[in-house]
Amino acid sequence: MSRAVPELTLDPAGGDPSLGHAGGFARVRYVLAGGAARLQAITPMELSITVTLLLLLLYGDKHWYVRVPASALCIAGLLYRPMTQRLNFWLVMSSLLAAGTLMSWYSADNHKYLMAYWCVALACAVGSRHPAETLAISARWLIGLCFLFAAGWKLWSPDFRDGSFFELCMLTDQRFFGFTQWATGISREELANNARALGDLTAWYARGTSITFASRPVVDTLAQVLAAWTLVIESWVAVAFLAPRRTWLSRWRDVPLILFVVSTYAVATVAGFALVLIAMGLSQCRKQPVWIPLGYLAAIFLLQAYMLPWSQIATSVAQWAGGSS
Amino acid sequence: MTSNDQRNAWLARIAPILLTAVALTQWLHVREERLTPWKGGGFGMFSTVDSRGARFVRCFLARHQQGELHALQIEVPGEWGEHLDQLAYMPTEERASELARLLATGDWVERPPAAAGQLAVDSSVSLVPPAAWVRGLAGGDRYGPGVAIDFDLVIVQAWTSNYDSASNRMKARKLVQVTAPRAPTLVEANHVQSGS
Repeated sequence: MSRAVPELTLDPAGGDPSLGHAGGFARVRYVLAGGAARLQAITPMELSITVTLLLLLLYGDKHWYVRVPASALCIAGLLYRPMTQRLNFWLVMSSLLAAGTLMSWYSADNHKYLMAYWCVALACAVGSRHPAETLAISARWLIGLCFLFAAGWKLWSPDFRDGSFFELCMLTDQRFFGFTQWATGISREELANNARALGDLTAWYARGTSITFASRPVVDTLAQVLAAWTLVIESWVAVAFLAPRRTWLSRWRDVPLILFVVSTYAVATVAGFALVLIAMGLSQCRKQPVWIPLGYLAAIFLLQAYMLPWSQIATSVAQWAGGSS
Repeated sequence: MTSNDQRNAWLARIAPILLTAVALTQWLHVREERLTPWKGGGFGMFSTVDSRGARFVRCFLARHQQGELHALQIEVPGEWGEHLDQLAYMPTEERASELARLLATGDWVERPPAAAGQLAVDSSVSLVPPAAWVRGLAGGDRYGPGVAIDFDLVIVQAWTSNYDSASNRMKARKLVQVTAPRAPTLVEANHVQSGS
C-alpha cells in the first residue's frame, strides 16, 4: 500500500515578493520536488499496475468478446485499487488475453502475447508471499528474454544484417515516412507512390513480379546505421537485464531500456509494445536515483507526443504564420 | 532458501518459461510451416522483410481450350477470408490445397457481356461488380445473378517478396502452387444429398 505523502511546507518565495524571477524558478523546483516526493511514496508495483491497466484499456485485444470484459475489469481496477491486489483479478485478465491471442495465434501482434505473459506474472506475484519482489524478478526475466530473442532473430536474418529491411521500411512503411522525409529529403509523394506500388504488387489482381522504388543513396547508409543501432541497443538491454544483479550492467539496466523506448518508438510507433515494456520496467526499477522512475514516466508522455500529427501541425502553423504576416 | 522463498522463485519463473516455450514453438512453425517471423509470439518482428505485407496469394479459374490453358484471376470471397489469411501467414501446400478445393466448389459467375462497362444498379446503391464472384454467398449476391463461368480447375499460388537494396527492387518469389479440379458446388452437393 502507498505510504503517506510527506507534506512540503516550505514557501518557495520565503514570503518575499521582491524575489521576482528567482521566486518563479524556486516555485518550479518546489512543484517538481513535490511531484518527486509523491512518486517516492508510490510503490513500483502500484505504478506498474496503473500503467498496465491503462495499457490494457487503450491498446487491448481487438475481439469484442475479450475487449469488453477486459476493459470493464480495467475500469473497475482503476476505480477500486484493492481489486488489483487479488489473484482472481489477474487470473481472469490473463485468461481473457490468452484466449483472445490464441483465437488468432498466427496473426496476433507479438506485444499481445507479451501483455498476456505480463498478466500471468502479475497473477503469480499477487499470489506469492512477496508480491513486489516476485513481480520484479518476473519483469527482469521477461524483458531480458524478450530482447535476447529479438536480438537473436535480427542477427540471424540476412536482410536485417545488410540493412535492406530498414531500407524497405523507410521507403514503404507509413510509420517511417516522417523520419524518412526529414532525414533523406524524399518527398511524401514519392514515398506514397512507393507504398502504392508495393500494394499493387501484392494485390489479388496483380500479375507482375517485381517493382522498383524511388530512393536516394543516403537511404542505404541510414538503414545500416539504424540496423547497427538496433542490434547494439537490444543486445545491451538483454545483457543488462539478464546479468547478475551485483554487476554494474545490471545496476544501470533501466538506462538502455528507456533509451530503447524513446528512440525506437519515435520512428516505429507501436505504442502498445512500448507501454508494456514501460509497465514491466517500472515494476523492477530502483526508486533512487529518482530520474529512473521519472524517466519511465517521461517516456509515456513522449510516446503520446510522438503520435501527434507533426507534419499537419507544422503545415497549419506555417499557413497561419503566412496568413498573419 | 526457505520453502516460501522457493515457491516465490518458481512463481516468478512461470511467465518467463511460458514466453520461452511459445518463442521456441514459433521458431518451429517458422521452420516447418513458413510462418512469418513477425507473428506467432516469437519476437521476429522488425527483423525481416518477410512480413504479412510482403506476402500475397493469387488465385485463378482455369480452363483447357484448344490445347491452351486460359486463366481468369479471381478474388477470394470475404466469407473465405480466414482460409486466405492462414495461407498467407503459413503458406504450406496443405493450406493452399484446402483453399483451392474450397474455391473449386464455388458457383462462379461473371458479368454478362452486355453489362460490361456499365454499372449494375440495385435499388439503393450503384455497384461495380468484380470480374467474377460466387453466387450464393452474401458478398456476391449483391452483384446480381451473373453468367456462369466454365472452368476445369482452380490454381492457387502463395508468394512472398524479397527486397534487393542494390537495385531498390522488390521481387516476388513463388512459395507454393497447387491446383484443384472443379468440384460440385455446395448447392449441387446438397441436391444430390437430398435426392432431389
